Amino acid sequence: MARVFVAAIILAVGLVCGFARAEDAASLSWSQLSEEQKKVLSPLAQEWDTLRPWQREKMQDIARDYPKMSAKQQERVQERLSKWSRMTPFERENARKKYQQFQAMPADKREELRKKWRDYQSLPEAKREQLRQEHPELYGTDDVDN
Amino acid sequence: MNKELNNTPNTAEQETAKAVVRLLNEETDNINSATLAKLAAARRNAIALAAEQASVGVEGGSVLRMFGDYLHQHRFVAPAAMLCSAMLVALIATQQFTNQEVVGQGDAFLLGSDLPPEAYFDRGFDTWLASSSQQ
Repeated sequence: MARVFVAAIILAVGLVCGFARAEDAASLSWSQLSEEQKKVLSPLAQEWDTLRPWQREKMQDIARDYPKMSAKQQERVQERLSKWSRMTPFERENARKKYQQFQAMPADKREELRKKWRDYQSLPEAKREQLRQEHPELYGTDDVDN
Repeated sequence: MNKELNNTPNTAEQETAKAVVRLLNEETDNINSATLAKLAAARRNAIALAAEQASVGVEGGSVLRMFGDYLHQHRFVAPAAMLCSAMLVALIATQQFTNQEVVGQGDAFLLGSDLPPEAYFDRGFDTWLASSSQQ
């Protein structure tokens, strides 16, 4: 019984410490980030201290995975990071779901989708806006807190 | 005293005790009045002290004792409950940290993917895909 009690205490203390560290990480100001994190997250330097704690935590997760990526992927991350931080939680959550679906597609389907995206981008903005208005689903809900 | 002993089982030890008690009773008649008064006072003090200790036990100690007795009687249940609690907490924590890992990695690689994030939620692109697949 004593061993179980000690194990439970150790586990509880470990969990509390883990959550405390996560909270600390989420509340770091720009000046408290490491040099590596600053380098990755440099597009967000001006707005970092205005981000909410959970947004900072997500961005630090991105900085954590950044070294695992190819040079081309890293370049894309740098280009898209600022826009990503300004997207609504709903847009981000939707993008995550679609990205998972995209990753599950066969290679030829993914290439086809990339081509269609390029075709779509070549359309005039007025035409794209018209297509957005034709979409039957409701978008813009901002209550998904991710 | 003799009456109490007469109600107990008749063993060799009890027979000896009876003999001792009989002897003491016989000698009691020879005790002088001053000694009897001292013995009576000591008995009263002992009874008062015992009553006082009993009341203190009911007020405070008995609660702890009851709790201790309960734990003793359920000594096999408590470790099992603690083990289950620890496993539950570990499971929740594992899921929490695992989910964070998946989402974090997803965000990084999503940003680095071939398609930009806006391609995944652009309503117009969805419509464009639907219309082009019908053609």
